[in-house]
Amino acid sequence: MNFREWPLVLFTLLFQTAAGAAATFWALAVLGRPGASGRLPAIVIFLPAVLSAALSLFHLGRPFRAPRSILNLGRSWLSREILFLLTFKAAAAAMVLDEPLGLQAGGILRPVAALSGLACIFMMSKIYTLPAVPDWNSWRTPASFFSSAFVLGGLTAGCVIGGLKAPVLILLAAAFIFNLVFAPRFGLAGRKATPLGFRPNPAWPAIFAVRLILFAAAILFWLTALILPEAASWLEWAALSAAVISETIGRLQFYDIPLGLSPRTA
Amino acid sequence: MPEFQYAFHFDSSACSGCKTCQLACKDKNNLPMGSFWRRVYEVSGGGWRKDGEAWIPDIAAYNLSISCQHCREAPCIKGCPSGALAKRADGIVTLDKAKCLGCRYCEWTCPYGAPQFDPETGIVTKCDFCLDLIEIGERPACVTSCPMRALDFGELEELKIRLGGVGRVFPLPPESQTKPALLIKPHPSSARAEALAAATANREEVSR
Repeated sequence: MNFREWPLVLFTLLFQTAAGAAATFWALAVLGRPGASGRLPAIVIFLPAVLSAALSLFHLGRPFRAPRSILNLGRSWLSREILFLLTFKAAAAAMVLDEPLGLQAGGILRPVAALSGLACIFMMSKIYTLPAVPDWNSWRTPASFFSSAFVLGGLTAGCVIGGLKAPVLILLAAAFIFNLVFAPRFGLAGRKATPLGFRPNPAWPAIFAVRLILFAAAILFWLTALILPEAASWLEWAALSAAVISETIGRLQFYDIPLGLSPRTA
Repeated sequence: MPEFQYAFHFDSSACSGCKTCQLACKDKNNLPMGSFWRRVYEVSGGGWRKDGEAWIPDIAAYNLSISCQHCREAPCIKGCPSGALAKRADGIVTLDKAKCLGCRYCEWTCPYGAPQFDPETGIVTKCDFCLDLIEIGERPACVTSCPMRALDFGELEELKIRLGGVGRVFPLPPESQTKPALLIKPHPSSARAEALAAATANREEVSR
């Protein structure tokens, strides 16, 4: 397993969690669900968003030049991603301050955060759909990013406000089928030694199996929480923990791919 | 009237794989350990084939000396978030060290592995076609050093007329992907390389 890109693994997963949670809370607020608006959901969105942005700086060779990253908006998906990331963070910060400052702007801020977050995930996936990297250059990349966002965001929202057991269970089951059948199995499905000299990691199938077992465990925990309401709280958090570990393994595999003519050594 | 575009010409049929070009580039540009703006890929494959009662060797074996191709549709320029990469009027793709933030996205976008991150400086480095030499009428270090005269350079259209060549040889990416400013005179065995399941033999050497 290649841990070299750990800042990007954490950045993408934390941001996708925040964006998925923002979309879930917004949908629930529109449906009039109690607890979906207010300061707690805002903090739950804001913290991972800020943490993800801070961790992404560890990926840069010159972090103090990070402000330059939005200077090529006309052509670069990376610049566009950063612009939407900043919009999302600003909206999330305003949501946290909405109640204390009496702004009464939640009705505007929630859709702004949700839509800019989802747009940012789209831009993020465009960054990776590169002809130079065949393993990333498919619909599986955006699909897996949105899958991670809705799984982790949905589970986080469910743990925070409760009462979302059936919808989140359906979401988890759909994501499990996607991961099992269509598989953003970066490094697994159809991957062979390439003429460029890349050789698949022989441990990948076993690692992928662990990822699926953890995902199945998350579903099982969530299902048990549905059946046993008295133990629901810790079972929900156990489900979230299992899903986080599973998604982290998946993302590590995503980044463990060959690049261009000169595959990286692990 | 086509735009002026500097390009490399590489004669794969003449290359002996001595890697003098690789070392001359490294020496001239004072590159750090592990960094090669030009790499020589040893492509080989095949084996013995039975022909009647006889076993005959059926192989593909040749070298490819690859650097930045200063592509006409350079994905590194399009992807660079800070605008550090740019194409000059003469077609050479340059990197402004003062603008690079070391995000390494150009490493991902380039199918030739040309931009390379330098952990010492925290920025990416790449071939600049030996601009300083060209500007005083000399040739790039890799071209000058080649003992087999397998490397040449010049204006793309002029090179096509003078030396000919193709834009892609197995296992390079399709020419349409980035429109590289590269012309190759293929080694005769390269036509069968894919069918013979040829691969990069010096994988460890060209890995980054």
